[in-house]
Amino acid sequence: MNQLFWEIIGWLGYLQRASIVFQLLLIIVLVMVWRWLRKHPRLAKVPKPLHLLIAPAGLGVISAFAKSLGWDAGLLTYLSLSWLGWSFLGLLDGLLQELMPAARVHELQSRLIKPIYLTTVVLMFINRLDNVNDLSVIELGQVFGISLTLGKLFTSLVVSYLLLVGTGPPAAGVSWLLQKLLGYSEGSRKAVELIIRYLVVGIGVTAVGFHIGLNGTALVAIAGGLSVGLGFGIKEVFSNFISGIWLLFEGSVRPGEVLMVDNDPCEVRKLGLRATLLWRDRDNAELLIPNQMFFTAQATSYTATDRLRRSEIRIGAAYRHDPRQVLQLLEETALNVPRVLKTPAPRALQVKYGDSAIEYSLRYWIADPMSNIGIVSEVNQAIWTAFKREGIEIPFPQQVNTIRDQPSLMSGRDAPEKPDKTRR
Amino acid sequence: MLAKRRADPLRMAPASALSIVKLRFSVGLLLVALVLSGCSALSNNTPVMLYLAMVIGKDDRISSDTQKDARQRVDLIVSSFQKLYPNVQVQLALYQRSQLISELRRRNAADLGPDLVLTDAQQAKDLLREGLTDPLPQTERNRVQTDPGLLKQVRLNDGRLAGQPLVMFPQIACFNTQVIQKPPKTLNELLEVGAAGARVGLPANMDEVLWTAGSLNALPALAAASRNQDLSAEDRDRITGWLTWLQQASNQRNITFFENQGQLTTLLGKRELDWISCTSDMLFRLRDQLGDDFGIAPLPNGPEAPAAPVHLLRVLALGRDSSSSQRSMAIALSDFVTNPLVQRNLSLLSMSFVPVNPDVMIPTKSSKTLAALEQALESSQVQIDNLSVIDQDGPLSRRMTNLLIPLVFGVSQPNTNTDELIQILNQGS
Repeated sequence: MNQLFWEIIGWLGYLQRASIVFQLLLIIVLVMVWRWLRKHPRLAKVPKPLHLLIAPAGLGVISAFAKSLGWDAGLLTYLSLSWLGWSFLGLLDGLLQELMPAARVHELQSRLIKPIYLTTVVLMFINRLDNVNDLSVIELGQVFGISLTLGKLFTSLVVSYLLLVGTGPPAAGVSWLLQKLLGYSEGSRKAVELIIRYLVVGIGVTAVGFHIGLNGTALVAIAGGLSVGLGFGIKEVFSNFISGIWLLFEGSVRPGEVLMVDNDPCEVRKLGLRATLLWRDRDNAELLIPNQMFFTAQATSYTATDRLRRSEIRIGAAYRHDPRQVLQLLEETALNVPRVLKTPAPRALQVKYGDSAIEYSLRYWIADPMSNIGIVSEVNQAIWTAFKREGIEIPFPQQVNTIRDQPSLMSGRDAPEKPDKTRR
Repeated sequence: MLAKRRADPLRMAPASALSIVKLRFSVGLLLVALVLSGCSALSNNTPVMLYLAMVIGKDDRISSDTQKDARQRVDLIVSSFQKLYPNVQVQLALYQRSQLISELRRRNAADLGPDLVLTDAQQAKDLLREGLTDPLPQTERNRVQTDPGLLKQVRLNDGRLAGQPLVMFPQIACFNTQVIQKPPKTLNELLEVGAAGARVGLPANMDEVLWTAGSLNALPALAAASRNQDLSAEDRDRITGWLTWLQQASNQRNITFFENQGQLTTLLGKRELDWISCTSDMLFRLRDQLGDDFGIAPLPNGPEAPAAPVHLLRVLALGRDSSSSQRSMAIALSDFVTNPLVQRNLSLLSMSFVPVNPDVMIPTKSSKTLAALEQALESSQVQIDNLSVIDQDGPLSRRMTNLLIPLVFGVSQPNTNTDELIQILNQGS
């Protein structure tokens, strides 16, 4: 570690070279000038692709000019090329968006392409200051009795990061292929994708451990450390992680499933290592619920065995209408709503003699549990139209009030005898 | 009132932006002033960082061991130099020989090239020819303090010096004394040692196995072919005899050919081999690994001629991108390393090389190691003219190596290979 520190401090020695200092100052000045210039209204009108290339191309031209004068401009050239590459990544955004959704492009750029590019540029720069291969064998210390070098640590971190971030698309491809071959549901496909990712990450992390040189003793030591940690701080984390894996295999909480949370249907978007991400249609909210909640508490699912949901509408019709006519009309109306399933057929029931009306219940089935509210609205509209057409009244609450005489507060023996008004 | 309140932040925004611009401008000016004041304050006591690019043993891989080994050797020189110039620090970067030229091209292109390059004489000349290093100024001191023969090896045809010869690592025999108590002095004894059960490793690389051609008296014939001279039937027979010996040696159960000496060194260090040919730059590491079981000896001679070890001449070349202070310190260091006292002390401390200063006497009586190195050097003096004409590093050497590999594996025959080898050597003239 000490050696690495002094190596890095030693790079400051390049500032003894006037050409390096001059180039660094020139770069700082050019960057400041560009930051001032780019706000100019005329430059703002320049198309984005051209706008991105102006500064690095300008730096390249300046470095070429400096070289033609016989000055040292290697650092300028290197930085202008690196900047140019970075700008091209910005242009790549547009091209990629034609192939995949913007969110996926952003994820790909920010998590994979740009970090890889930056790491490469930094490594190449360090390779100009020193030799990366030589730096990579610097010993940082002992871990579980194994000498850990900078190269091993770096490759382990890079491989682990790539495993976590970069295994998504291949896992999605394999699960898609398996879905085509075996014909399982969309939810299962997402579950298989996650299981493949966990497997690859698990195998990869083990391989990284072996690459570093961890042996059985080291693994036992890690396991010991983890068991102590499980007893204290990371118990919840571990519990959530295990719950997540269990739920995946069980299949009850998979991406695409619809669960009732606080009486609202929510769709499972993502089953993470710690928590499950659900989407609530009512207010477009995303809920992060720890995995162990599903593991320990009761949950209502609309998609455990099938995705059908039975919905119900209660409505009252005036007493003067024949219930058989109302029941038939309700069933026919429901059948005519496009998103109501024909099979199982809608069923209307006469459920109660109410104060103002006879109450009916219309029960029907829908294919998408998340669309319940929208379909309820459609069915209600259709009922209103049908009732109006057939002259069926939906009565307001009716109440007949009869005025009675105030009964005497005195008892019959004590009170003076009065003649009965009603009799008169 | 409301309108006024709304307008306030709008009026504040350009003001704060302006103050940020002013702040940045001031910081920029301060930086420039600092740099300029720093430049003016440079004096003799200003710390000077020298960047040294060093080639590790031929075809060796960079590992923690090689790094430790190289740093130990460089520290021997630098710690002495710092007694004279305490303000100088040296930062070392190790390179594989095959990658040095391409890596230096990249570093030089970014104006971040090293101040000094420590490599072998042949590569130092290549670097100067390619303009990756600057020629060493010819001073009276380096003329007097360096063996004229060695200076000749680092001089280009146009008279420029590619670098300052630093040390000479002779090619020797390294062995495990627990298995081999008495090192073989002749090739026949080497075969006997192998037959007795010791595991012998030989390199298949042309320049590394050329010493056997000396022992079998085939070197004059090879040199004649290199000079494009007509070869007599006897010369051809000698070359065929050498190739036949290599093939027969390979057929021995305990004698194995490996790609290069780097592999041999690694295997001896792991005690998987008992006798190898090696260059003395590996002694540091082998001593560490084998401890008291490590022994060295001159390479075995033949019945008619001595072995022809190919020594490794390490030179210090000057980088191209140094500042004036770095350059003057780099030249001071290259002068310092040939100082007789320094060469003697370094030789005694490291016990792994032979000084390049002709005035330095090697205390051979006090050290068996130095005696073996001196003996190896002496035996090569006999063959030096013949060795100098045979290509040991260029494309011809690689072609000859490609010829030797199928031979030692029994795929091709010595008679056929003799003609092909002569053809290749003829192209070097």
